[in-house]
Amino acid sequence: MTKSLLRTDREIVEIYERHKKTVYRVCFAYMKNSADTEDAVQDTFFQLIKTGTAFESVEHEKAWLIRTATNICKNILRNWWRKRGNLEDYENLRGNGDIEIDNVFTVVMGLPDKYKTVVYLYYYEGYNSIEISKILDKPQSTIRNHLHEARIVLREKLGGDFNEK
Amino acid sequence: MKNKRIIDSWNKIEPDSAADVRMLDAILARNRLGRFEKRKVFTMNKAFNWKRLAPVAACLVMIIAVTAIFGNNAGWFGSKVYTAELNGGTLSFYKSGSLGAENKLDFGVDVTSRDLTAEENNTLFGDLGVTSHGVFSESDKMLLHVEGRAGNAKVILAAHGTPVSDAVIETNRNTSEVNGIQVSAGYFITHANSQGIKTIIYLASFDMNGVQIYVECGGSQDMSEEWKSEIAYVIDTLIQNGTPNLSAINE
Repeated sequence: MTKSLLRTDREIVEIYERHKKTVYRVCFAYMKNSADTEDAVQDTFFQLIKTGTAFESVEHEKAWLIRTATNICKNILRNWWRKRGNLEDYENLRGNGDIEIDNVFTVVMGLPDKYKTVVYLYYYEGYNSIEISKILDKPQSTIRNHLHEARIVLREKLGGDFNEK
Repeated sequence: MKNKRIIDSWNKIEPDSAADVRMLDAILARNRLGRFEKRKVFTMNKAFNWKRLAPVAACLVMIIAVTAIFGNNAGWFGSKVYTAELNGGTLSFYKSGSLGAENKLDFGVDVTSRDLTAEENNTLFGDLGVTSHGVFSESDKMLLHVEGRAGNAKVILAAHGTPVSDAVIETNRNTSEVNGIQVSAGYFITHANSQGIKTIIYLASFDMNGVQIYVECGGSQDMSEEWKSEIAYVIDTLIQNGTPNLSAINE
């Protein structure tokens, strides 16, 4: 990060096109429905516009968006917990449009929130624990613990469907 | 790739085209608004910076004012005024210069001198407990000058037209009224000695029916309040006693 930027629409479109699927997937794992995921994705890019953060590279840009999306989703969910007694009831009111959610992703969505982004970055994006610790700005030991615990849950719930290799 | 099932599963999660358009439209709308707000905030900030200085300036003025008031009373600027409450009024001691050049005590006539007796001291000073030495005119035996001590205070009485002291004191002209008597009172502080101790000397002079009276008391500055109380007591007693009757005592 260097200095605050005022980006043109063209620059925003370029960033959006580069990372929309990544941000959407991270948000969906938390929000579990398409409508709230859209809101979270928009909030993530609103934050980018508001702070005018400048990036050193595309990787830096991606890491910033993933971390911001994760924080925004956690904040939204935290607010929901304050307002509603039963989050599951609320989630069932929303549809998921054309998105197909299979049993594997259902299990991923059922993971504790603290594991979701780590699992996404490790299994989908292919980052190792050192890289994930830098992206999420957390100790490597914490990342390794989260991966270990998430792996146990995934193995338990997916059984034969879950192969490390 | 670490787990193909998970990757395949996550690949299915992406916004449909309608959602894609909705999100991008909202983001671009916010970006245009954001640019407008940032420009607006920027121009406001330039003006606001000056306004933000106003409370800071007000605080500075307050600090300076309070410092000036307290500093003046505390003598930070070299002008502290000490006061003492007497029965007949408030006596103010103004900062004076210092003891100046020595002045020769010249009475203009031939004189003789001796210690005054206890009875004579009592006549002149009442119950102040003064021990003193008197100077008399050799020709008519009249008492011209008395220098005595009451505790730590030095007391001088001088007949009209005779010198009071052999030291010229640069006093402040301000006076206080005590029981109708105009008293000129002051103090001065010496430079620190080799042990770092400063001496404060309180002094006062006044005239009672032609008899000139001078009182002086002082010592280490850290006992300033005690010296001030002592000289105040002596001045108050002398004024209460009334005009000393120099003519009652002769050689």
